[in-house]
Amino acid sequence: MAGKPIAGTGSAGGADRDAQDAAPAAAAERYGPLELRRMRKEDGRMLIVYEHREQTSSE
Amino acid sequence: MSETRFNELRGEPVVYAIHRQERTFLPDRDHCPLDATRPGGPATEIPLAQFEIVVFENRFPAFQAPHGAAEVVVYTDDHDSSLGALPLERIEDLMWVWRDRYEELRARADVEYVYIFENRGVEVGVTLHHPHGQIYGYPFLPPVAALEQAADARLGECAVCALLRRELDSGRLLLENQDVAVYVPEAARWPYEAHIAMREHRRSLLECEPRELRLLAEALRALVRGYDALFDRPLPYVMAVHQAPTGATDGAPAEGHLHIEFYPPLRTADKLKFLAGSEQGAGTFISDVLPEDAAERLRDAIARAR
Repeated sequence: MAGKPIAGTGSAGGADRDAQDAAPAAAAERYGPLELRRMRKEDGRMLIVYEHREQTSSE
Repeated sequence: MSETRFNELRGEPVVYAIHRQERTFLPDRDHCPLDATRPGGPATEIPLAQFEIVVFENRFPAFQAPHGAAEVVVYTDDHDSSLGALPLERIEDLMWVWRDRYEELRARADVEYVYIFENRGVEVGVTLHHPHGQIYGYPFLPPVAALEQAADARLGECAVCALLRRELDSGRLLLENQDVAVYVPEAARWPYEAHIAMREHRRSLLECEPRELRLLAEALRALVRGYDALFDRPLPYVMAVHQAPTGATDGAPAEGHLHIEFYPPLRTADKLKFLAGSEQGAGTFISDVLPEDAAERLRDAIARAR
């Protein structure tokens, strides 16, 4: 599953008001069985997306 | 920014994070900030249409650089799921996520102790129902970690290793596999408290082999599913992952033994164990349930949940 950033989503105020789209993701890194992408939200906070990636015999 | 003061009578720090009064409190189902951001819908904390596991810095942090860290770990984009309901593979992935965060945070000069935890249920103060945990990077060694180090010194060896040997031969063992044992401790403070411990001395997730992480995930899943079967309802709990401190120790790695403690506050299906006069004012838990009886009931519940 590859999550894709949603651009231009509206904010509903309240708890959602300050939710921000993330900056474009850096190159994917590997960590054990995971692939991870480090991002920065527009307010500067770190966000990391982890996805399972099956190990292959060549890895 | 938080302020830390030292309570001399208790010999412990107290953190004042007054900005957390404004944090999101039990939002309705359609405004969960930990949901994925749906096309055309309001933006959430996670700007993705779908995701597996996401970690981000808490918007309302108890600690933040350069005085520690506070992170949120979202286990799934399924708002109605739970740790025990996740597929085993996802929980195994979560072990690797915890490992990654421990490895990164331990390298920070402003983090003395990496604490991974989950509060589940309004009974323990949850403000967001979406399945998630948290990570605090304390800029000091917190009292419970210091107590575990004192227990090591008192017993003359790793306290978890010593206690685990006793528990394996007790009537309080709940389940075990090649690498992990789960038990109700001899002197449990909470009625259905249980601990998950690595059989080998592992200071942290970083010292675990992939197989150990997989078997830790298996044990974790079995216990949490058993908890939900205990009273046939989602069981509230605090889950506390204890690992070696990460602060400076004159060059030597700090000691610790990776284990996970669960503190469920229920003593029956609908009665809470409150921290009242004896617990708060005298520091002595008075429990209504013997650990051996709790273990028997939990073993039955775990068997039903399999």
